[in-house]
Amino acid sequence: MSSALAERIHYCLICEAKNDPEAVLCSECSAPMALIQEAVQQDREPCIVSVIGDTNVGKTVYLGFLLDMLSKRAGDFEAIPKGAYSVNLQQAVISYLSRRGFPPKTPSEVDLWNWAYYQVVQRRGGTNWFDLVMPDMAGEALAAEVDNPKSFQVIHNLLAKSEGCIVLIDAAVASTGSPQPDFFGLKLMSYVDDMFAVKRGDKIDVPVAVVLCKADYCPESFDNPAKFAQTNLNRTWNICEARFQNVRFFAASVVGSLAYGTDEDGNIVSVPLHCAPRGILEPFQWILSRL
Amino acid sequence: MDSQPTVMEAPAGAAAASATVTCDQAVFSSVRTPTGQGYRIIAASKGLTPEEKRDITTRSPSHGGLCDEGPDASAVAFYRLSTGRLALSYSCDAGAEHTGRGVRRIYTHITVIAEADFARFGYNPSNVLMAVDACGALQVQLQPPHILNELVLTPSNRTDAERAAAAAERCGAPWVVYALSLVLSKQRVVTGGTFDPGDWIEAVLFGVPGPLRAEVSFSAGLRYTVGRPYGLSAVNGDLQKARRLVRGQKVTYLEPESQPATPARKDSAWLQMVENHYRDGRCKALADITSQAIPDCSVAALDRIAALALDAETAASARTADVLRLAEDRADLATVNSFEAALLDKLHIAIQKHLHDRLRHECDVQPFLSDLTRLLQQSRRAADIVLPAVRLAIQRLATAAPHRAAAFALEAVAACRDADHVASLVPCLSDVLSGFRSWVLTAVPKELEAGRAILTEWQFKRSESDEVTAILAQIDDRLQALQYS
Repeated sequence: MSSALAERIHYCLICEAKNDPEAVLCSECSAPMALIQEAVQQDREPCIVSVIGDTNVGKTVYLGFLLDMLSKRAGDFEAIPKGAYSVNLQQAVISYLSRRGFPPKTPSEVDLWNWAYYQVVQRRGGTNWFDLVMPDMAGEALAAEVDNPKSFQVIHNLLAKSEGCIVLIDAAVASTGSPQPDFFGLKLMSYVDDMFAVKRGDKIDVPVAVVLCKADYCPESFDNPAKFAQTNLNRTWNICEARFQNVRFFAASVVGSLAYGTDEDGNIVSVPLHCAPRGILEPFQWILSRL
Repeated sequence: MDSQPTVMEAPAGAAAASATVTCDQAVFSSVRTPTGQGYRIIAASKGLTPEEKRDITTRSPSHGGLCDEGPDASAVAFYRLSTGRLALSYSCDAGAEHTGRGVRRIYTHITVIAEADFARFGYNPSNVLMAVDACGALQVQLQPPHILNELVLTPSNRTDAERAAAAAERCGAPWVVYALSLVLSKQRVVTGGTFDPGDWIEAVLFGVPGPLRAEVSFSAGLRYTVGRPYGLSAVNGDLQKARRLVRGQKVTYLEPESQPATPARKDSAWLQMVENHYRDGRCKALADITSQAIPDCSVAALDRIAALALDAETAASARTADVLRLAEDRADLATVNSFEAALLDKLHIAIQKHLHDRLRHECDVQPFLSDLTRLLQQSRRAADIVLPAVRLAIQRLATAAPHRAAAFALEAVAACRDADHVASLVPCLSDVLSGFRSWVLTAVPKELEAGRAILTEWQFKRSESDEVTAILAQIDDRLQALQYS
């Protein structure tokens, strides 16, 4: 155990605030203190990969499915969850989907977020283990932070420490002509741009995978995600091209087919009939290759 | 639920009369609009600043944020915004969320009020909430106009102490006072139990001096989260989770079932006063003190105020001799502001009332006469306090033992430093002399001799009275008659 890391066992991994040894959550940013304890045990600095996107875009489902695929050794990956709390997210997602339902929304309160700490290695092509920390953030909290920076300090600190970002954008809504996904993507990329501010003219080299979610609604996005983005998410595309040198577009979908019903208040409820994951691993694999 | 707007707003452009308070409002909830979806401020009045909106966004609950679940779940929170204004939020369940993802929608109405206006509600957030409710603003409105009008509230500073009293009775006064001691020391407190969170908050708040209440942020019925720090959080439901989350935080979790620890300032007169009031079920009297605009809320000043209130309790229940000592100590107490002066006046009245009531019913007033005379002599204020008792004592003695009444009356008159006080005793002197006339007919020679001696002194000291000469003659006649008989 490196002494430098061991000395930090009472300091939050995310915001580096000193905490009481008994603290379960950081008193400053509410991140779980278990993260730093795992990092100290592994004696390795973890890589934080942030999965960000608008509310209802599918962050929880994407991340839960990704973790489940990794732990099932998809793509020749091997992934070991560190701490039982790391399994909660994938367990919730898979359980709900197997009961033909989507998992509940992630609340804005940070202590209710699911955090995953995984050790990952891709057997094919390398033996480097990565300690990955991936929180499932609430879309509302992200939106509030983007609108008023530092209102959710934990998001600010997380992104500042991220070594890679997976940005989810609702391709299904974008394909209908709605400008909202594009505007939110633009805001998000602008926020990330501010976060990793570099000299004018230079581009940010943090790897950013822009994932077009719910791509089963617009199958053409699978054929050429970049072209789909350039056409339907032009503002986001432009800022990516202008400010990020390490960016790539992907298309992904989890659910094979949906049915619709209504709840007691007349709200439309989507019912996932079966899962047909496509394009889930690729963004992650690409990010890992850039770390 | 999504149907028609029902929030009643202040009439646009209404001129705020002096009897009303104008404040800003906002609604935080999850709805789908052309510009987005999810939890955010969906409507607000124009006066809210971006900083205030940010504070409201980070403080407002999303789904699962209430302790209770179901259509009747609600919560209240109170906190200071970074601009200095105060926010009072009311959250409630508003049906299933539109996303159809199986979660309940939480609807939060936020009232933003200036601190100066808070005083007009008796420093009581419940009064603000009732005023907001009275204008219909707490009704769920999921399609509000983007810009709301300002709220025009009618302030009231009523003190409905029943809820607080009930909570204090359930939890026990020492327990509420322990929580209060932590709050006054600016420590954060979380508690949960079988009681209503709102009642418990009210019980603790009533012990906080009014002007300090703006500094006590609280939540009642909101799930505890580390990211929303409140000075006082009352939770219910999953208490185990709250206990786990506070571990290692600078927060004290109070177990209502356990014996409270001794307050940090166990010698605090203020805490003692609050405990006495709760123990005796006198919550309204407590609220009457604490809900005032106390000009100095320093520890020393609060202890001075509490000492006066505790003295008033003593004056109401202690032995007469102790009350006389209290009168001696407190008659000329120097006060530093009008609030303390008013409390001191109340104490003086309480002492005055005690002495008057006791002397009316006491069998023998004799033991107190020297103390009363000393107080008449002490100062004008002391004399003001005891004069009614002195008059009563003279009147009571005048019928039973006029010679003693006359002696005491003469002492009292001599002790008075003020002509007004002497003048106020004059009617009693007539009573004494009237009493003499009938007394002479029944007194024994020894008493008659004593009476003659005192009346001779009276005649010397108060030569204006002709009646004395007549009574002296009556005594002489009676003595002569007794001698012959």
